[in-house]
Parts: sequence; C-alpha cells; structure tokens
Amino acid sequence: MANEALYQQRAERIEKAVRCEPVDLIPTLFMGQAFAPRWMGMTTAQYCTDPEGACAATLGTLERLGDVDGVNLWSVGYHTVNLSTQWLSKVLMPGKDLPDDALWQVVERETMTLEDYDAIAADGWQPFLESFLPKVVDMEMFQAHMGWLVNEYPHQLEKFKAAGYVPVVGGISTIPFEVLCGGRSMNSFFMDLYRDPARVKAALDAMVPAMVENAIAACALSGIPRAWLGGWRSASAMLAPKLWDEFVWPYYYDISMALIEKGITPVLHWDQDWTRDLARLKELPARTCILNPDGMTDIRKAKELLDGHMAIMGDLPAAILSVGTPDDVYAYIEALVRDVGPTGLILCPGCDGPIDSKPENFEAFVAASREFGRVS
Amino acid sequence: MKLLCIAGFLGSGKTTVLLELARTMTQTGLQLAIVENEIGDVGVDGGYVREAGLPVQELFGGCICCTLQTGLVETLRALEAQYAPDWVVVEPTGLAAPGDLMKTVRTYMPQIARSRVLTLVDAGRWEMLQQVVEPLITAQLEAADVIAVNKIDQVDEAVVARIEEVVRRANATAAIRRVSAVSGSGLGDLQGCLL
Repeated sequence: MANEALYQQRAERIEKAVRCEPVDLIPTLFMGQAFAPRWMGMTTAQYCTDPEGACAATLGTLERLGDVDGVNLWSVGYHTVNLSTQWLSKVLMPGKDLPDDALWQVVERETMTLEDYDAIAADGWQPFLESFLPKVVDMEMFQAHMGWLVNEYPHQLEKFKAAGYVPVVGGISTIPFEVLCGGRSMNSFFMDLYRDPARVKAALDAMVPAMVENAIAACALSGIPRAWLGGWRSASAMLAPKLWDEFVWPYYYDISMALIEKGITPVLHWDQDWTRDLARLKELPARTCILNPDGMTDIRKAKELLDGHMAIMGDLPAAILSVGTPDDVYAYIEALVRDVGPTGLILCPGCDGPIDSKPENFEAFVAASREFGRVS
Repeated sequence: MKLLCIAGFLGSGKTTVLLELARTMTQTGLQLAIVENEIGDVGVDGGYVREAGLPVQELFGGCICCTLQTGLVETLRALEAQYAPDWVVVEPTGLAAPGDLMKTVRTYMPQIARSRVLTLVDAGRWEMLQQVVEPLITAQLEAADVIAVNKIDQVDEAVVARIEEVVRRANATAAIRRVSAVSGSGLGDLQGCLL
C-alpha cells in the first residue's frame, strides 16, 4: 500500500479507537523519547540540541519498528526547553551538565517564590512566564526553539505523514498545578497548599486562559487536533481527595472542555496511579478524550468505568521494556488486549519507553500488538 | 547482596538516617553501597560517605516519574557485578511509593537475598502531610517492614502517640520505633531492628 493510503488507514484507525468504534486492528503507537536516539546511534546531547536530528531519529525508529500506526509524544524542538517550560525547572543537559549520552534530568529545586503566586494572579500567566523563563532556560536556545516550532516543525510533520506514520499529539500542555508544583518544588508547593491555599488557587485560576490558548495555538500550528495533557505530581496516589477535588480535577475538566469545544482531543497522559478518581472522567463528554495511563493506574478498572465512554491508550510498563524479556512483553500485551480491548484501546508504552529499553522488547511490543490486536 | 530501602516524604530525614546507618554498618565490617535519588538539598556524597570511600550511585530518572524503577534495577545489577556489597542502601525520591519499587526489584532481581523497607515518618510535619499527601504517606507506611517516627524532639509525647496510632492502622505488622536522626536518639535500636 502506498504511504499516503497507509497514513489515511492508520489515521482512521486511531480516530475510530478514540470514538470507541470497532477497528480492524487495534492501533499501536511508539513512544520512547530517549530510546529512539540511542537505538539510532545518536547521543542524547545531539537529541537535545538538534531538533531535525531528533525528528529523524524518531522517524527512523518508527521505520525500523515497521508496522506501527504512529507516534505518541516525541521531542519537538529543543527537548530540554520543553521540560523547563512545563515544570519551570532547570534541566541538566547531556553534553553540557552531564555526559554526552546520559539521560537529561529535571532539577527539583525551588525556582519560584511565594510572591510569584501574586504576580501571576495580578498580571496573568503569559507576562509572568516571559519574565520568569530566563531563570530556568537558556534564552538563546528558547528563541531557537520557538523559531524552529514556527518554521520547521510543520515540515517535519509532513515527513512522518509521507512515511505513513500518524503523529498523534499536536500540542503539549498540562494543568497549572503541575507547572507551579515544578517551579516551587514539590515540598514547598505542598506546604503552600496547606498554609495558603487561596493564594495558590488565585494563581492557578489566572493561568488557565493562557494555557488553553497556547495549547490551541500549538494544535493549529501542527494541524493535529490532539493535545497532550500531562500529569503525575497531581496524581490521585499523591494528593488527598479534598485537595484533588479543588486543585486538580476542575482544571483538567475546564482545560479539556475548552479544547473539546475547539475540536481538539485531549490526551490525558497520566503517570502514577489515578485509580481512585477514574470515575470523574465520566463527567467529560463521551468519546472526546484519550486516557493514557503509565502502567500504575488500574487499567482494567478504567475499562470497567469508561468502556464506550473514553479511549484508553497504554500501558506497557517501562520496567518490562527495560528489564523484561520479549516473552514478558507478549504476555502483557495478550492480557491487555483480552481485558481492555478490542474497542476503545490504543496500544502504547506506558509513560515513555526508557532510554535503556531493550530493542528486542520494542520489537516484541509491535509484533505482539499486531498478533493479538487483529480484530478482523 | 541484601537491600535496604529508606522511604519517606521529602525532608523526613532519610539522608541523615542513611548516613548514620552507613557509618555504623561499615564499622561492623559490612561492605556497603548507596543508591540515591533524593531530590532535596542534602546529598550523601559529602562527609562520611566520601571519607569511607563507599560507592554511591545516583539514579537519574529523566523527569523523575516512571523510569525510576527500571533505573534502579540496572543500577543494582551494576553494583552487584562491580562491588558485590553485603548491603545496598537505596534512598529513593521522597515521592516514590516503595511498594511499587520493591515489587519491580523483587521481580527482576530474585537473587537479592533479603530486602527491607524502612519508612520514616516526619513527626514535625505530620498534620500537614496527612492533610495534603495522605495517600502517598499511607502507601509508604503500608510497604514498610520497619517504621521510624522521626523528629520526636520537635513534638510532645501526645502527638507521637497519636501518630503511632495512625501508623499502626496503616500497617499492623511493621515494627515501629521512635527516633531523632539529628540527635542520634533511637538509631542504634533502629539498626538492630532493621538488620
């Protein structure tokens, strides 16, 4: 089949899964942001500073894996800039702060002050962000990153499409909690929630409009109507229910609804264990979102609660990819398809395939997904 | 090789306890290695650990979420091959649920002869932690073989007793000890209970 037709077939397969409709084959996606460069012989230092090279390494990985429908999140632009802006944190860079082929590392240190909450509440998110970013990002790299997104990213996406692979995510965002928790550091942020919740909430509320606008703009730029809404610091396994109900869920709900109104599918990329609060996802309109857990949330419980309401993307655990065997992969995928498929399921590594994933395990993931994922 | 995992929320005193345990364990002739992934301000690479020449391996987890567990397995394998220590003491990030961590380690490293989880409770910030991150604290308590109520010098007896009641409800079988890592109070007894 020509690549153009293949792309259409795969895109349609993914869309059907999102709408919880029957599929011929359960869609299978790659995600392994640090694995791809290593497998393709590129250092992580190059991967973080050469956006075209990062795209080429990702596309090369897809081609080497062969029969996958597309890719979940991968490094778009300068990878560490993405991480820094998402968590308002410095990131140790391979090739600069770390050895050339080391894994980048988010530095969990307090970069924001208590007074910054007030500045965000008073002035809004965007003006604050612009004044704050030099504290955590090399602004020369940031400018290069933004320029690359506008000028080069759309061309890179075309290469994926031309090769027949569907880039699933068009924009990256999260909820304000995750961003400020990074900036304050978890320890301080959690204490802020205890000591001065109103002050925190005022900042969170002020951030929503600009964050929604940025996610919509990113999807428009990429032409991909799906936005990654990440989370792990705000997981149900971390936070007391009362705080989760006040500082987490309303923001996921509001941001998701704003995206859905624009025809964008939120991809709720939830790391850690969110089982306690899965039922809240039924408040979102049916067949408009994707839940993307990482292997820690009870995916069978998710299926039980959300069957026919929301697609589930996941969740081959990172541990199996890294230290398991191809037999472990086969067993996991067979059980996953049996218990959670076939409709409304998209097979994908949970969270992110780690840097030291065994290539044979990724190959087994694709083979097993195609073997057990065939519906008709 | 045996494994001791020291769990507890950020700032609960894990590094201080680790350093003290490392000092006394090496004095008894045990060969030790240390794995740390704490994201607070106190590193273990200074002071006693450096003087004693103990191998210290830092765990990098990228964005510190899902890949931590696999990094730990690979790190333990490397330490076993290179140093064959009697004990590896692991200090995961204070945000880790040690139950998940140990499950992964036990699945992929069945050769580990013995593994113990010590969970530290921050008595000084107990009320705050219960109100904000109760699910995480409970998970850390549930996974413990030994629970040390730390910073007892910062609170009165009634508070410690209340904490112990809650701790006991979360984990009916773990040994519970009272310690002050800063003053050293109770640490000898804690080590005896752990090893």
